[in-house]
Amino acid sequence: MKRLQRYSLPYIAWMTVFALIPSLFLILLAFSDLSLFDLGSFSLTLQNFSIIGLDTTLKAMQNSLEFALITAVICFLIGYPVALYLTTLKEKTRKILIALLIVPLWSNMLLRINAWEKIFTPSSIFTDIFGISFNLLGEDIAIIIAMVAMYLPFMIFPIFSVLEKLDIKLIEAAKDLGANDIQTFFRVIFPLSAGGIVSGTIMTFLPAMTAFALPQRISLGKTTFIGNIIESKFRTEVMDFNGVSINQGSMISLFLMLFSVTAFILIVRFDKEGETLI
Amino acid sequence: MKKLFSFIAIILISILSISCSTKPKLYIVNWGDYMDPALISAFEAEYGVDVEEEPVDSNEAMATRIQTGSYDIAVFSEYMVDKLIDQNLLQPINFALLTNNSELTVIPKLSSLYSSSSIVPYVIPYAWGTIGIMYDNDKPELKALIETEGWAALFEHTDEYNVGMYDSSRDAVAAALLYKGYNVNSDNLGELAEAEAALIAADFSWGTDELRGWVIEETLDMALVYSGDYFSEYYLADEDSITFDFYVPTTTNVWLDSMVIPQNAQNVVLAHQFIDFFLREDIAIANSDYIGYAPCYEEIYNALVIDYGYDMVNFDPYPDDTIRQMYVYGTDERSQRLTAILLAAKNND
Repeated sequence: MKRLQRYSLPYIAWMTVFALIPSLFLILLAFSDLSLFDLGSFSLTLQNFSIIGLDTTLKAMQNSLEFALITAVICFLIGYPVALYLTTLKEKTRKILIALLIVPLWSNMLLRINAWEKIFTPSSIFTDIFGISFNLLGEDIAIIIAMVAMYLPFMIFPIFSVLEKLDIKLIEAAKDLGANDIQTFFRVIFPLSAGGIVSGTIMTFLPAMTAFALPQRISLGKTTFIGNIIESKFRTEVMDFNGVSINQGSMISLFLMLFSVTAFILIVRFDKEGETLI
Repeated sequence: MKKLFSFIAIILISILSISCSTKPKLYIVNWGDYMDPALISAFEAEYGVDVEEEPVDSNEAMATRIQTGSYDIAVFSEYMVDKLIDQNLLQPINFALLTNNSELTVIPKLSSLYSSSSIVPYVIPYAWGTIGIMYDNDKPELKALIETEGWAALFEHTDEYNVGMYDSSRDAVAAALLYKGYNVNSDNLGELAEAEAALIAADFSWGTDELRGWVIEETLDMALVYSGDYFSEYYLADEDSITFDFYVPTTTNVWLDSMVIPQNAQNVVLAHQFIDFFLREDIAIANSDYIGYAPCYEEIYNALVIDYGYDMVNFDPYPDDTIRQMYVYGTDERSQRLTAILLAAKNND
């Protein structure tokens, strides 16, 4: 075991340079007046915290949470039956269906966002072929449809991997003891798949909450997510605020990181072996 | 901490320098597709150098680049030049190193908009244009509406039409100020409040580069766009099937993009040679023809209109009997007010 340890050194170095140090730097920027472009003396301050309380930040945060929650719930409602269905299939059919779910994930997310944008335009390819015009750009429902399409596989896979490993003997035992299908499902299968559900929910909720390209394109810029606020803090407001917007943006990012860390703790508690994390 | 940073910096720099050749290198940060690559190659061949061009999509992104890296040439809009001079990030142009500059005359109307400004010693004008309304001309009534109402068409019809507004505090507030009949640089709190109310009252879609695409695919009926955005679509489009048009209201803002030399440029002399190369009349004409935006010099402008047959009406950013204004950076406080106005306008639904 010891011998293998040194093979992890590149990984540790990589994570230190590109994850640990930037994170520490983010924390420093959030709680100080350090200027990113002029590294020098600085003093610690809680001033950047005020950005969290602004109406515009809160509204964006609320949008992010609401849309992410709705997305996660819909993904669960669609994803659970799909995962369950996958377990009932023959190996070969199942492999094909899983491939169909995975392959789209290999294409760049911006391309898929762009595709949804084209589908929702008043005169899309569907208008040309079928005479249907969705004309949904700018509507909340369009954001939700696109997000569900984007993140659904991340709900299906963790649930599927739990269900697949479920001990068939437990189900047989339930039936022997007189439980019907519905009782078996709600009292045996569902509770035993809780780990997958938690992972799936977090893996759809978090990326949906931190999305910024998708709401910008699909809502035609009408719905602001917290990611859009962070983007403008780091990209467009820097000169106007003499760099302070970067410290404010760091504070908001840090706030979002709290969600991620909490989510991670939740996953670890529900899924000690990490079997649902793929 | 500092040691750690310099350690990382040394590693990164050494990785970067391994791939370098021995030729001198000129680093340019520029808007995407905003300089004829064939002419850049011609410069490389003539001077035996390599030119490295990095594309960015906004003045703000470009400002970040010159703060974090070292570039020899950048192409900024006027208000950002103003701010960068303030921040000590640019160096004055050494006009003694330029031989072709004296052969060219900046178009007097354009010159009148900035000749008294502090940016003059720092800039070599590159291209100019306006902001205006790009619209879907499949709807015949829209053309009439926009041409009679001007800026009001953008602000007063968001219930009947899908209207796009530029997602940039400076441009959105400028459009609202123009609509209310005020100067784009107004820092009068009352006037800004009116502009804010106008932006909040209207139900806009917000975007930057996306807006022109949304008008073309008819997701939007009209949008505030830069003349440059319109032109690049106009030149790309198939002439028979153009479904969009551009209208510039009588009073509007003029943008001026200029070549500048950042304070920390490594190849200052070469940078001047590069600028001088692009001021050579034949090169400047070819470059303007490539990028398709109005050139800033009379000689080049006339050559394009007379010899190349460019459409006078569309091409002139400052025709007779119109009023033109130009952004100044103003104070940080004003810029922050503009940011707050944009956020409030976008937040409202």
